[in-house]
Parts: sequence; C-alpha cells; structure tokens
Amino acid sequence: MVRKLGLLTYVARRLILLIPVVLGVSMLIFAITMCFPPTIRALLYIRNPQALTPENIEGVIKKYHLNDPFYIQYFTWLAQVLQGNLGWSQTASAPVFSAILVRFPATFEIIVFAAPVIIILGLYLGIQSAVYKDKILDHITRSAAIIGWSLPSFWFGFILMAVFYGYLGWLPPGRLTREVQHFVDSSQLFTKYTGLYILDGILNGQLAVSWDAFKHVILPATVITVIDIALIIRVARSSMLEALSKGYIITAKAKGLTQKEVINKHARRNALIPVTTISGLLVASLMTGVVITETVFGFGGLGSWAAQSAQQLDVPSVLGFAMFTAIVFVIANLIVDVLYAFIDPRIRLA
Amino acid sequence: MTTSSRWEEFKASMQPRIKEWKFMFKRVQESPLSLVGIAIILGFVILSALSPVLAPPPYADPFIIPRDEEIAKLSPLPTPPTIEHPFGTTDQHYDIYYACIWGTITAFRIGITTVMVALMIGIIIGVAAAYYGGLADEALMRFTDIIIAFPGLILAMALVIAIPTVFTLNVSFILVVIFGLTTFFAFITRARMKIKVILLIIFIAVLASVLLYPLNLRFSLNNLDKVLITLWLIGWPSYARVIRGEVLRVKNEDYIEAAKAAGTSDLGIVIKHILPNAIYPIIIMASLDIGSIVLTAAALSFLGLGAPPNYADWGQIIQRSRNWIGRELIRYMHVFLIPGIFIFVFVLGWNLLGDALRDVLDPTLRRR
Amino acid sequence: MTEERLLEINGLVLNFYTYEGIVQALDGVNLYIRDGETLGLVGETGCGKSVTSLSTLVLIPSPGKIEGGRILFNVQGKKVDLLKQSDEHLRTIRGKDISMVFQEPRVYLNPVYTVSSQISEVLVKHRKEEFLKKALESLKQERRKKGLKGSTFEMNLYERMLKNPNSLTNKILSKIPGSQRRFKLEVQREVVRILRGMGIPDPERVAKMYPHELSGGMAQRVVIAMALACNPKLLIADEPTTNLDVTVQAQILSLIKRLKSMFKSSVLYITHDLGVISEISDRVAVMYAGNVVELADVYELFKKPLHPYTRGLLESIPRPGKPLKSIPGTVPSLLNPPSGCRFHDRCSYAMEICRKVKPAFTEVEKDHFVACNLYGGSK
Repeated sequence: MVRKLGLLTYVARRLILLIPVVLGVSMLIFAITMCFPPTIRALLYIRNPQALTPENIEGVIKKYHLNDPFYIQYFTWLAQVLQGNLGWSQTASAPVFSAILVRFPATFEIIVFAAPVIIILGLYLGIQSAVYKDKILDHITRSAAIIGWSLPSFWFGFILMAVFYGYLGWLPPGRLTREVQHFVDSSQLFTKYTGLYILDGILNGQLAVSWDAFKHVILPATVITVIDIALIIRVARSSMLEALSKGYIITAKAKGLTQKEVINKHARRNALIPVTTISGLLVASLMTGVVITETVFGFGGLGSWAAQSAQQLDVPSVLGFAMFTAIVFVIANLIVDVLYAFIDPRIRLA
Repeated sequence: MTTSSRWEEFKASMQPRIKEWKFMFKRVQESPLSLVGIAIILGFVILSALSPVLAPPPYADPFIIPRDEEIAKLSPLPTPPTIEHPFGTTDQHYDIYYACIWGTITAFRIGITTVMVALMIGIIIGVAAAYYGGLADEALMRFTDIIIAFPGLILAMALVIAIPTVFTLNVSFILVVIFGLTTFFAFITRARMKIKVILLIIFIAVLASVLLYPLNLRFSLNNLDKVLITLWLIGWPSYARVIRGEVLRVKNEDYIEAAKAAGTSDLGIVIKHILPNAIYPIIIMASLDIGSIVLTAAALSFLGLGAPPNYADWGQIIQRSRNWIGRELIRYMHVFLIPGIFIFVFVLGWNLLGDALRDVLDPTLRRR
Repeated sequence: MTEERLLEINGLVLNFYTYEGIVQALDGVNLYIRDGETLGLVGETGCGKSVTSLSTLVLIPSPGKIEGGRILFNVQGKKVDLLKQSDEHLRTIRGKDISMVFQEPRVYLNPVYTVSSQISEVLVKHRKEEFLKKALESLKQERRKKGLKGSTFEMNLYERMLKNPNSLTNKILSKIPGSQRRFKLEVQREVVRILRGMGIPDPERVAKMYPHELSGGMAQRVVIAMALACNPKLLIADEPTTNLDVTVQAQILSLIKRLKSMFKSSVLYITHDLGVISEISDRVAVMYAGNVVELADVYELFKKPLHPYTRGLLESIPRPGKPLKSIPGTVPSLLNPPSGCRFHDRCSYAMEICRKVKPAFTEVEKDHFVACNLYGGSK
C-alpha cells in the first residue's frame, strides 16, 4: 500500500518536473523562429492556403504582434501552439498539425518493428558480452556494435536497397507498391482504421496489403536496428560488467547459487536500470534514424516529410517536426522514469 | 624559487598524469582493434596531407570539384570508373576520386573545428555552472538538458535553415557585452582596485566609441558554414555536463580548500587548480567524437542541407544517389558506394580508438 | 572442545595478475580451525585477510589465481580439499556449510530485492526438501481438520517435487502462479523466525524492506541472518563491525557470540582490531603481508607473543600511561615483496638469514605456531 502511494506521488512529481522542460523546449523552438524575418514567421500562424497572399501576411504580422518585442510574441505563439496551430506546411499542402497526424502511423510502423528488436536483442547481446568478457563472443559483439555505430545510415540503406531491390528484386522502396497504394487510397473495400497498413490490412481482411506493407517496412527497420542496437549493447555491457563487480554478486555466489542464477537474477536486474535510462536516448536516436532511412527508401512518413521540408526551407514544417520529436522524447522519458521506479526500489525515496 | 626546484615540483605534479598516459598507451597496445583505429586515422591524415599530389586542384579553390562540362552536356548521367576517373563520375560529370580525396580535408576541418569550438563553449558553461552553483548552475544545466533532449540531427536541421545567409555581426554590441560582463565580475569578485578602475575606464571608452562609431561586420555564409555553426551550437552540452561534474568533484578536494584559505581568487582557483585536473581526459574524449561529428555532418549533406553541389564533401556526393531510388541504383552504385566507404572507414577509425579509450578516459567511470 | 579440525589451510599461495605486475597476495598461508571454536584472523589492511576468507569459499576475485596449497574442509566426517572440488559440489557447501558475513552490509545486499526474498533464496537453495515436507504436512493437516479426503494439485506437486527434485515437468508446473503458495508461506515464516532470532524488532516489517531502508546495524543483522539461515558449520565474518558505530558494534559482537554457542558453529573472525579479537576469539592467527606469522591461543598470544611483528602489533595498542610505540617502516608492496622473511626490513631482531630464507611455519610450543627464524624454524 505504502509502495503504491509512493509510486503515485513519484509519477506526479515527475509530471510536475516536466513542465519546465516542455517550457524550455518551446523557448528553444521559439528562439529558432526568431532567426527568421516576420514575413516567414507569419507562416507559423496561417492555417489555410488562401491566406498566403502578401496582404494577408501583413495582416497576420499585425494580428500576432510579429513586430513587437519577443516576449509578447512568445506568448501569442505559445497560445497558438497550445491550440494545435503549428502553421501551414507548404511541403504537405496541409496544416502542419494534420500533416504530422497523417504521417505518424507510417513512421510508427517502422519503429514498431525496429524498437523491440533493438531493445531485446541489444540487451541479450550486451549481457552475454559482459558475461563472456574478453572471450570470442564478446569480441564479435563489440566489433559488430562498433561497425554498426560507424555505418552511415544513408549509405547502408543504399547498399541494402541496391542488393535487395536492385539486384534481387525482393524488397521494394516506398511504403506500398503503386497499385496497392491506389487500392488502399481509393477502394471502398479498404478503411484506414489506424493508418498502420499492416494492421489495417488484417482488419480489412486484405492480407495482401499487409504483406506488401510488411515487405516495404523490412529494410528501413533493418537499417535503424543495425545502427541503433550498438547503443543498447554498449550500455547493457558496461552496466552488466559493473553489476557483476558488485558486492552482492559475491554474496549471491557465497549463498551457493549457480552462475546462471547469479547472472539472471542478481546481476541482470541491476544492469537493467541504466539500460532503462538510456532508452530515452534511444527514442531520440530512432527519430533521427527515421529521417534518414525514410528519405533513403522514399518511405512516406514523418521523417522523409521533414527532410523534404528542410530542403525546401519550409520553416513551419521543420519546426513542427522538431517540436513533435521533442514531445515524443519527453513522453518517452516520462515512461522511462516510471519504469525506472518499478525496477529500482531506491528511486522513490530520492 | 629556483628553476630546478620548480622543475621538481612540476615533475611531481605531473606524476599521476604521466601514469595515466602510460596506462592509456598500454591499453591501446593491448587492443589490436584500437591499433587498427590509429592506423586508419593516421592513414587519413597522410591522405589529406598528400591530397595536392594525389589530386592536383585545377581551380584556385581546391575544394571545387573539377567537372568536364562538354561531356556533361552530352550525357548528364554518371559514368562508371575509368582510368581518367578512377572512381567514376556523378551525374553532371563531377569527378568522384577528386571529391573523395579532398573530402578528407573537409571531414577533418569539420571535425576538428567543431570539437574545438564546442569544447570551448562547453568548458565555459560547465565551469561557470559548477563554480557559481545555485541558480546559475540550475539554469545552465537545465538549458543543457534541453539541448541534449533534442535529437541532434533534427535540431541541426532546424538550425541550418534558421541561420541567415547574410550574417551581420554587431561587433560594437559584442564588445560592450564582453567588457560589461568582465567589469561586472571584477566588481563582484575580489579583484584588485587597480584592475577594477582600468576595466571600468575601458568599458566607458567602448561604450562611448559605440555611440560615436558603431562597428558592423557582414559575413555571407554558404551552406557548409551553416552546418559548421550548427554543429558548434549543438555539440557542447555533453562536454559542459562532464566538465561541470569534474569541476564539482575537484572543487571539494582538499587542495582547493587550501588554495581558498591562501586567498587565491575564485577565477584563479578555477584556472590554476581545477581546470588542469579536469580537462585532459575531456579533451581527448572530445577529440574522439570527431567520427560522430563527421557522420552528422554527412547526414546533413545527405539531406541536401550541407555542402553545395560542386564542393568536395563525401556526404554531398552520396546525396546525388537519391535521384535513382529504385532499380537504377545498382547501375550507378559507384556514386554512393565509394564516398560511403570513406565516411564509414573514417568514422570506424575514431570509434575503434574511442572504444578502447572511453572507459579509461571517462572520469565518471574510473578504472580499478 | 574437540580436537577435530574443521578447516585446515596449508601453504595457500595466491597471486593477482594485474597490469602493473604480479601481486603476490598470499604467500603460503597456514591456519586451522577446530570444531566449535572462534579463530580471530588479525592483520593490517591489505595483508590478505579478506582474500584468505574468499579463498575458503573458492570465490577468488579476478585477476587472482590460486597457485598452490590445500584447503581441507570436513564434510560429513570426510576431509576434502575444497580447491579440488567441482563447482557443483562447492555450491552445495557454500551457503550451507560455510557462509560469510561482509564488512559493508549494504554493499553486499542486492539493492533491488527485499530482505525476505534475499534470505529465502538461501533457504530454498539448501533447505528446499525440508520446507516442501513442512508445506505438505500442514496442507494435509488442514484437510484432515476439515474432514476432506484426497489431495489438491498443490499437494500433488509437492509430493512430485520431493520424489523427483530435478524433473523438468515439476519445474514448469511450479512456475504456475499460486502453485507453491503454502511452500512460500512456510519459507516466509522461517525468514521472519530467523530475523527475530537476530534480535530484529518487528521482523515482519523488516522482511518487506529494501536494503537501502535499513540502518547499518540492521543491515548487518540481515546479512548475518542470511549467513546463519542454514546452520553453517563455519561462519566467516570479514570485519563485520568495522564500519558500524561502537554501540552497534558491541551488539553485533555479542550477537555473533550468542549465535555461535546456539548453533555450535565455528567462526573465522577477521578484523584489524585487537580489542575485538581478544573479546571474541578462542585462538588468534596473525597475518603479515600474505603470511600467517603466528597462530596461538588468545591468552597465550597476548601474554607471550613470539613473533616480532605480533609484539609490535600488541605494543601499538594505545594504553593509558604507556608511551605509544609503533612498528618502524611501512607495509611492503606485494608487487615486489621483500625476499626471505617479508618482515625482515622492519624487524629489530632481523638477522642475515632473514634476508634470504623464508621462515617455516613451526609449532614452537604445543598449539603455538610461529613463522620466524628466531625460533629455529628455518631449514
């Protein structure tokens, strides 16, 4: 009972601590917007394409105080953002907010495939690597992790595409094959329940769509996995090594436990704590990875949209995306904090 | 104090550091992988030193990739490797060999300048946060947290497009700020009266000169400059954090108390006693980041936000492959394959060395 | 007291292969412990006390390696060399026949598990059968009281586990949540009983706590409870009171004494504190730089120390009215230990021979062993 209450207050405290972070993020984004002249900043407040005329923009500048001191501007801007108005995306020909909503499922599809593999396999390899320190397995895992970490994701993506599509013709780029995309977009038989085509295919009973979507997801997910797994391996290995050097490991051995019990019960639980913390960083890394891999494979998600926007100097889109990733990151960290409290009983007292 | 006794003192003070270097050296020797890393890095250093010989620059600016415009007019498509173009050409007939060789220098330039500037910002902010503590510490560290919280590449994307092409630096304003702050700190710390007066006079003089003759510098920035500035701006937080931790650790040690008791000024303590003890591992740690910095810069180039299309830069060449997403990709494989190998091996070299040294250097993760 | 030797360490040599060179941590350690007695092992920091104790459990911290010697331990009337036993056999000895208490209780408790789960782990490991029988018995009785016949799934499971402890099916069945409720309850009850025996107030509450919620003295009691959970024949206590307050220290000492007489265990008590040694031990072994230099009855040793180092050690105890003496020189580095007798460069009785010849460990008087060239021990 006490434990549960402690957990609740802990989560509440975390939530309160989020406020300054979110405010800080918004200030940073706002500071970036201030680098632009008012005519461009005006785009951040516009919600439909008819408003893009010069006279209108003058009106917007007046209405939202874009020539006033920055603190006044900040609050008018923040008020707009809180209402979900992030401006007009020229790249997507839609308001930024809805552009993000439409594209998020595609990106989520990649992440859903990559993240579990990264975490589970990365943990497993990192722990094994620590247990068999300086043995062959350790050397192989570490080398593989370093290589993965050093791979330029766009280059690796191109190689995979050249091999699996250019040469073998198995795994095509894009999000869906053109005919399937057409079917998905226009057929009466297909309803986009979630926007995740693999899931929607199953829900609609159109397994061919699921299969096609799955084939398109494999390569981007692989690229992200190979590159980001190094992060988890490294942290898992070093925290496992640290756990294995602790006094309680000697106690556990002195109790007469087997090596397996010592590792699986006593060391691993403690090694999980730093890995949990680093998962927040993993989220950031995944969002970055998505920008590159989606661009490489022409996968129509958030990442490729953001890259395209940046190239076309579409300011509201880029900033909207940056804000979105920051929020994702903050939420991920909140989840991590809560998980953390479950794993580490010491945390609630602190 | 005689020279010899000073030398003795210096030697004694360097003793633990020398031990540290020896341990590092030993660590590198023990691990074949880090030797490979060193070999790779040295190889690239030699390559960049020899680039004027290996690829003689045809134009005054050696970073402009040579291009045969006649052939490009005939066919804009990439040509596979030939004797004349050992690595082939890109579309528009840019020579990949030349771009790869001179791209090495670009990579070093990006990496080294970024590490230097980011480290400087990091040191100033980290030391300030740790030394002044309290509210200043809290504010600076929260700011640091927020920048770290952002996925680096995405913040970089936003910054690259936010940095204006023509950049006006208000020199007078910066001078006023610098001297204003120095004078301010001189007054709140225990500086000598003479220094305070001199600083005040300079401050007033600067203020007057600004009113009489405002000084502005105009820079025009190309995309690569913007990438550099962006990398500086997003690179420092992790260093600031580590340095703050180190300074806090050193700050509580006995000899700092002794120095304080002896009446050394705050800034004097930081510069004379704290920094030397905290800084060496961090400098090396930071220089090992050159690999990942180059990787980020290449990623920006790949997104079309980096070097201009005729500039010798690895990422920029690879970016050209984006034109053939699909089956043709395999026909023009050399366009991305060869510069990619350069990036990969370059980054790999730094990471191999870094992996061997990181636990030795990380002050928060001391060895037994 | 019986003459039976429970543990006998003969000529134990242990080296650490570090990057700076070979650290010769143990250089022929000799000692023995009789049934039911307390042997105090005393020496300065870094002389190899803790390494000796860990070697007794054959838990040598890397990069250490045992290079020679024997550790004879009496298992069911038979003397076995622990260094030659299989890991599997050692595991049945660790925690059951020999158990250990450490210096820093909170470092040696796993921070993420409750007190009760850490203690019950030992119980389940070594006394599983006992608790299975208990659980089965209590379930049977309960059903008899209610007038029911036959058996439940839980009872069947316990019977199967008793008959066939290593069967895979049983292992899988026992993973079903709730299938071992009574067994766990019995273990829990025992944990609380043991904790109460340690003089812990409110043991039910303490059992549910995490190590960080305990005070230092309390944590040490928990560690002792863990060590004594299976009535070990030998308890190794490695400076268990060093980091505790003086009052708590006294409590722990008297606790160990009381428990020792209750469980009839032998104790190897390691400390650098001669006061504690005189308080708790029957016999004393003095260690210096990886060697046991003297081994004798506690009264004998304090009255008539033979080895110059022991004398120096006894003289360095501060006593009112007497000038404080200290041993000249410093503890030698074990990377490059002095040749011959490792004490020779600090010894005021040093002879030429001490430089070259390592003195043998000889019985000068009955039950009084010393390793010093002064006593004709050299060969």
